[in-house]
Parts: sequence; structure tokens; C-alpha cells
Amino acid sequence: MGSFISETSNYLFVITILLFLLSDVLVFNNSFNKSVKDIINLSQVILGIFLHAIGYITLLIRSDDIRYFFFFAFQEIIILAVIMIYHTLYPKINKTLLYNMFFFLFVGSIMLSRLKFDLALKQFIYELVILVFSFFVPYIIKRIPSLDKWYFIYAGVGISLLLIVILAGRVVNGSMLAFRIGDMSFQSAEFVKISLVLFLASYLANYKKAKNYIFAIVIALIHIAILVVSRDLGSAGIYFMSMIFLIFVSSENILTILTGAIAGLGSFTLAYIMFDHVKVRVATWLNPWEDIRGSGYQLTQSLFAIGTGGWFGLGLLKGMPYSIPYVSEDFIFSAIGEEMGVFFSCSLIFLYLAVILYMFKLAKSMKNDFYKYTIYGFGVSLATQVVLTVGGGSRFIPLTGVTLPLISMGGSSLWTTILMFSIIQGMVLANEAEEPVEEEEEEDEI
Amino acid sequence: MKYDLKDDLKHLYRHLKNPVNITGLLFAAVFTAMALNIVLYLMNHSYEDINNSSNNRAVMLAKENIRGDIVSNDGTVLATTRIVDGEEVRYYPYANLFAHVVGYSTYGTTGVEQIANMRLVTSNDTLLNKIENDLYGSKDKGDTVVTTLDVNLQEVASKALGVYKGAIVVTNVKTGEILVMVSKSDYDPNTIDTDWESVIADTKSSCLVNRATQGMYPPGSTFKIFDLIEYIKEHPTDYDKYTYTCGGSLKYDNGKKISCYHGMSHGSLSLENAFAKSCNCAFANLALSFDRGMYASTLNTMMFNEKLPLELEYKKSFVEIEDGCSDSTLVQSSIGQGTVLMSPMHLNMVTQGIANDGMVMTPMIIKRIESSGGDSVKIYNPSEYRRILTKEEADIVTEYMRSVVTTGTGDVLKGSTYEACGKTGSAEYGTVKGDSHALFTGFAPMNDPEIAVTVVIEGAGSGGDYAVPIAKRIFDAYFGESYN
Repeated sequence: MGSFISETSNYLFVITILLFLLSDVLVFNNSFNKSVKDIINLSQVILGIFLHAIGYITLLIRSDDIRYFFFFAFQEIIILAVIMIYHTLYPKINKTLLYNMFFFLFVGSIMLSRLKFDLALKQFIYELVILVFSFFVPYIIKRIPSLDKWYFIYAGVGISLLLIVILAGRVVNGSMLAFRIGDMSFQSAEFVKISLVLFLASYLANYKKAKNYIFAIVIALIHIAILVVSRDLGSAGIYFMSMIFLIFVSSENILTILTGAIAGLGSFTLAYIMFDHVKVRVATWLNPWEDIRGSGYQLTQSLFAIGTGGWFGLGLLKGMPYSIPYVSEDFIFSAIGEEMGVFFSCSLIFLYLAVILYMFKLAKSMKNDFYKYTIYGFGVSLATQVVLTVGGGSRFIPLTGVTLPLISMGGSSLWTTILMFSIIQGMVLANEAEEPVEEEEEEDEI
Repeated sequence: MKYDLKDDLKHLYRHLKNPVNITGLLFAAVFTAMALNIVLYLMNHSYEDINNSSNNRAVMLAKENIRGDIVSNDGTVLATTRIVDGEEVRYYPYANLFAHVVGYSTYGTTGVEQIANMRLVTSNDTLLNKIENDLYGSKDKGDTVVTTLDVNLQEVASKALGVYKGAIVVTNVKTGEILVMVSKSDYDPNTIDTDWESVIADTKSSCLVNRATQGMYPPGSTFKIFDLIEYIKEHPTDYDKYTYTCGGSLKYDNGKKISCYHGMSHGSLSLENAFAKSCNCAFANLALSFDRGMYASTLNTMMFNEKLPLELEYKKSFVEIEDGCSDSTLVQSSIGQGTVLMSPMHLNMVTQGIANDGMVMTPMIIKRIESSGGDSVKIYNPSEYRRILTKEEADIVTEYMRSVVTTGTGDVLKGSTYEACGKTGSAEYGTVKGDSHALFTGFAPMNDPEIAVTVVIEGAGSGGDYAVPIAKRIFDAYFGESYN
């Protein structure tokens, strides 16, 4: 039985994620009544737990380390409890969004446990803290109706957080990214993804005239400039995309995107001319094999991992993901490809896409522009993040070194993404509390 | 309800006007492209990338699985892994015969063992077998690499070359499949790890070098094929009007002189006769009339000073002809002497291209990959590499190469029923006048060519006397004629 599960685990992973994807497509469609929807949602929980269980059984069999069993049981109890508390506190919570979030967390916990047990444990503690905190988020959103007037606060908090890093931060991998409080290391750039979207959403929801855009852009560019100075081009790209698309959604003018694309390419060229590290990144992207032991090391190891894993992967614990530097943070997608296979990792890409499109759909159903823009902005931010990390590790675009949402190691990244999900939950709940309006019909999801 | 296209379009337009929907479509496109990029990478390029000595996963997989077999085109085992006293031992049943082309994996990797390394250590065994292996704690068997090599022909070629040093390459004209690759001196890959010290100490025989791809030989008169091609290209309508009277030697560049082989005087010759009898003076005279820049670019097209589409380790062929090069360089090169150097494989590729109506096929050494159970994992298809001649040009060169056999230096092949075509060469080397490598490159049958054969024998003498008989034995074996 054990051999059977561990040898077939990679096929089971693929089947599970494809079924989950199918359930998403079904449930995003409004044509089902509530009881059918509930059944589909229930099957999503089951699929998530199934995937989680297969992963840990495989790890247990291949390593003979009983800790995997206890850790799995511990996680299941806690997460089921969290789901129950959510349902008790908020009976109308959006189950689809919640279960999708947990599915990604399950994939992450399998992969991190495989990489290093202690790492996964630490990450789960972070997860627990933010999940408990997020119980209150929908409540806060409902109770403070003036959140959409706090734009100066969002801007102030965001810029200050970024400045703290410049002033008190330490250098990580050549970029100034984090500051420490006690034992915890905070990566401001992560949290500011939220504050920047909140600023743009609230400001643009209140001021819709073209001249107001200038102020919004200036504030956003200050954020971006600080990041460029601290050499965090990945986050700068995410902020930039949030800015462009939020102005686009508010102005409803397609020229915004075209202008944004030109400005984006222009600033990238400028960065290329100005910074040597950008030149190296681009050269490595064009030909990683040139300097296989030096600047091309990360990318070639990542390609080795994806290529060696092949369609169905080498199997958990059977590859060598640790040959890729920063595998648990920036390259976890390649590790997933190596051991769980490209079928699985590509399905994962489409699962991200499904969730992001679902967020867009939720955004469209908001009556309140602030909610609409915020949910939409989070969707754009997450989508950009996925493109940067997956595309970077697979040589689709130059490498920038950002995390894969909900899967990569890193407390700040995890907290930020879970907070985004809970804010969306809160806004959807608050929106439903207002009088219902006819929801717009939706086109295909994928 | 009545169907109304206009309503539908209006509806679609309203959707597309919504910025959120536009954003959704944009990201859907980018995500799909990103996934497609990974899928295409895996389908097309990943193997070349991962079969890299910097990929430590090969070492890991080699420990995990039993190294797979390398077999010939009819499934005869050329390399396998045997369990001796609980230890995995790589075994080569044919010992020296395939030493260079199959290579070894016991002391580093070479040959097919190297280029298919990742395939050999990867197991695509059935799930059921894998589960069974897992239960019994045994290893999975790596995939089988099916090569294009022909055991029978390789044996004939190796025997024909005998004790001489040299190389023989035989390819399928239509597909570029390598049927034979012999290189001598050779070694026994079964014992290479223990023999290593003595093998590398013997610098005289250089037996580790695969002479077929890494041997750099002066091509001698086989280079006249290139002179002929250039002359046809420069005189497409009246090339056959060329005549020359050979007095045994030609003076050029104020007092320098070249002679025909053994000082022979050929008398009055047409271009075809000059080619068939391999008259040095006629071709040196021809070369002096060439546009040197154009000749240089023709030779580039013919893969001189260029990379070859070859996975096996090889050396680039070299020629010094360029725009403004000296008469002496041009004349020496035109008869395949001086600084010009070629690998036998390269000469074979050009021959194959001529035989294939001017189209060079990418040389293939691996036909397909199978799981140890025989299920197909990957099939390699023949691919065109480069057109070096138009069909008309190839036909003319073929005709001329046929007259080498019927009226010239390759007359050993004259009586055969399969109508061989070719060109001989006797390439002088070293400082002692008269020492020469014997060369032959050719194909058969003339009308619908099947195989191209290239023979290089070190220090044997003239190509006509030594290389052509060896080629004949290979042609005979292939076309089923008995020989003794």
C-alpha cells in the first residue's frame, strides 16, 4: 500500500489538482443553486485534504520520519478548526475563495516539509498567527465604513514602512529588503503591496477627474522610487503594475495600459543602463549557459530541475532541489516542477489564474468603487507576482526574485497574501450586507 | 427567442469594454504563454540542457537507477550493465569494436554514453514495475538507447581497415543515420578504468581520439570535389568546355611548382577526365582562376571553419582560402595539401549531401529511446541540415564522381553491379616525401544512392590502391555481394 501510494503519488497530485481546477470552473459559474454549490465546495475541502495527505504519506514512507505524521495531523486539526471558526463567525463567508487559499497553502506545506521540516513548521506557525488575526479583518471592514477616506493614512504608512528599511534595514542578497523587530524580520515591500493598493483604490474611488490621477501617480512613484533605490526591482514591478491597472480600471481608458507599457519599457531600459545588476540579470536571461558556475548558476540549476523532473516529476524527496540557491523562497516553483512534475506545476499556474479571474469577477460585483478597486488591485498584484516568479524561474522573463504567493517560505509574503484574501472576504461580506443588486453575467474563466 | 447576431456582438462589445474583463483576458494570455513556454521547453530543448556535466542530478539518478542499455539498429546489445558480486559493472560485448562511438562510462563518459547519459540513467519503466522494484528494494532499470549503428557493417569495416590506423564512416544518404563509425587505434572500454594510465602514456597511437570526428587529416585529392563545385558555380553553363594539357607539373607564382602524383603526366584532359584521373596540375590551374572571396564563402557553406551539427565531440575543419589569400595557399589547398584539414565525418557529410541531391542531413546516431520494457519514449526523426548544392549541381558532381570509378583512380569498384561513385585522395603528410594517407569518399548506387562511405587510412599509400578496396568491401557487404 505504502509503495503504491508513494510511487503513484505524482499521478494522484495531478489528478487532484485537475479536479480542483474543474471544481473551480464549475463553482465560478453562477448557474448552480446553493445546494449544488455547497457540494462542490465540500469536495474542494476534501480534494485539498486528499492532496495534503498523499504528500505527507509519501514523505513519511520515503523518509521513515514519523514527525511527518504528527505534523500532518496537527495541521489538519488546526486548519479544520480555522475553517469551522470562519463559518461560525461569518456564515456567509465566500467558501470558494477560502478553500482555494487553503489548497495553495497545502501545496506549500508539502513542498516546504520536503525541503526542510523545521522550515515548514516555522511557516505553519506564521500561518497560524495570521489566520487568527484575519478572523477580525471582515469585522473591522464592516465596522469602519470610512476606510475609503483614509488614503493619506495608507500612503503615509506605506512610504514610512519603506523608508524604515532604507534607514534601519539590512542588506539581503544585495537588496535592502527587511528590518528586524526582535527575532522577526519584516519585509516592508510585502506589506506595502496592500497599503499601496488601498491608497490607490480609495483615492481613485473618491477623485475621478483626470487631474487627480497625477497626485495618485506621484505618490505611487515615490513608493516605486524607494524600491528601485533599494534594488528590489521585483516589488517595484508589482507596484508599477498595480498603479497602471488601477488607473486603467478607474479611467476606463485603454490608453492607460499602452502608456503604462511604454513607460514600463522606458524605465526598464533606463534601469538597464543605470544599474549593473540589471545588466547581469538580462544577460543571464538571454544566455544562462554562458556562465554556468557564476551568474547563470541559479537559472541553469532551475532549468535542470524543471527539465530533469519532466512531465510527472522525480517524486518527492527524489530530486535535488537544494542545488538551486534560495529554492524555498524564489525558486519553489522549480522545485515543485522537479519533484511533482511539469503537469502539476503548469496546472498550478492555471489554478492561480483561476483564482485571480475569480477575484476580478468578485470585483465586478461590488457596488462600492473602493471595494471594487481594492479587490481588483489585489488580483493584479498577485498575478504580477506569479508571472515574475514563475516566468523568472522558467526563463520566460528575466529573473527578479519574488516569492510564489501562499507557497514560498517567508512570513512577510505569507502574511501579506493571507491578509489580501481576508480583506477581500471582508469586502465581499460587507458588500452583501448592503441591498442586493443584479449581478452581471460572466464569460468563461480560463 | 429569435437569435440575433447583432445583440450577441453588442453583448460581447460591452464585455470587452469593461476594463476588468480586459485585464482578465490580458493575464489569461500571459499565464497561458508562460505555461506553454515551459511545456515547449520540455518538449524541445530541455534534454540538451539537462545532459550537462554541471547537472548533478545525473549523478544522483545514476545511483538511483541501473544504467540502461545501448543497442544497435537491430537491437543487438552494445553496452549493458551486469550485476557481478552485487556490484553494477558496465559491460561492452563487442569490446574494441565500438570503443569510440559507443564510448565508455566508467572513467568519465564519452561517445553515446556521454550524449545519452541522462537518458540512460532515467527510468521510464512501467508504474507496475516501479512499484514492484520499490517493494523488493531493487533499482529501476534506466532507458534503452537505440542507436543507428549496424553491427555487421561495423565488423566488416573494422576488419577491412585491419591493423592500419585510420577512420571509416558510413551513413545512410537519405536520413543521415550513422551506420558505421570505426576509429583505430582503439582500446577496450571494458577495462579502460584499469588501463587508463597505460592508455594515456601511449601518446604514439592516441587511441582515445575518435579519429572519425576528431581526426584532422589533409583531404588530398578528395578536396578536388570542392574545386569542381566552385568551378561549376562560377561557370554554370560552360564548365564542361574546360580543357588542360598536363605535363606532369605546373609552375606558378614565380618559380613555385606542384606536380601530379608520382610525377605522372596526364596529357590533354577534359574537366571530367582531369577529375577522374585526379590531375593536380589541371585543378591547381583551375583554382588560380577562382574568385577567392567566392570560393571562401562556398567552402563556408560546405562547413569549413564552421561548427558541425554533431553531438559527438569533434574538431572543426580548417581551410585558409579567403579573399586575397596568396597563390601558394590557394594552389596547395586546391589539391588538399598545405594547411587544409578535415575530419572524416565532415568529408562524409559533404558526400552524403552530394548523393542526396545537394541536401546535407543532420547526422543521427540515436534513433530512439525506449523504456527497459521496450515502450517507446522518444523517437528522433531525420532532419535536413543544409542545402550545399542545387539538385542540378549535385547531378553534375555525381556524374563526375561516377567517372572516377569508370575511367579513373577508383576503378577497383568498376565491375560492381551497384554503380558506385566517389573520389580518391592520397594526402602527403609529414616531411618525408611520398608518405601519404589513403582516402576515398563515395556513395552508391549512382541513381538512387543509399549509403555514403568515407575511408581514411593513415600512411598506407595511394587512395586508389588502399582506400577504394576497403570501401568496396563495405559496399559489397551492404549490397549483399560476397567477397573473400
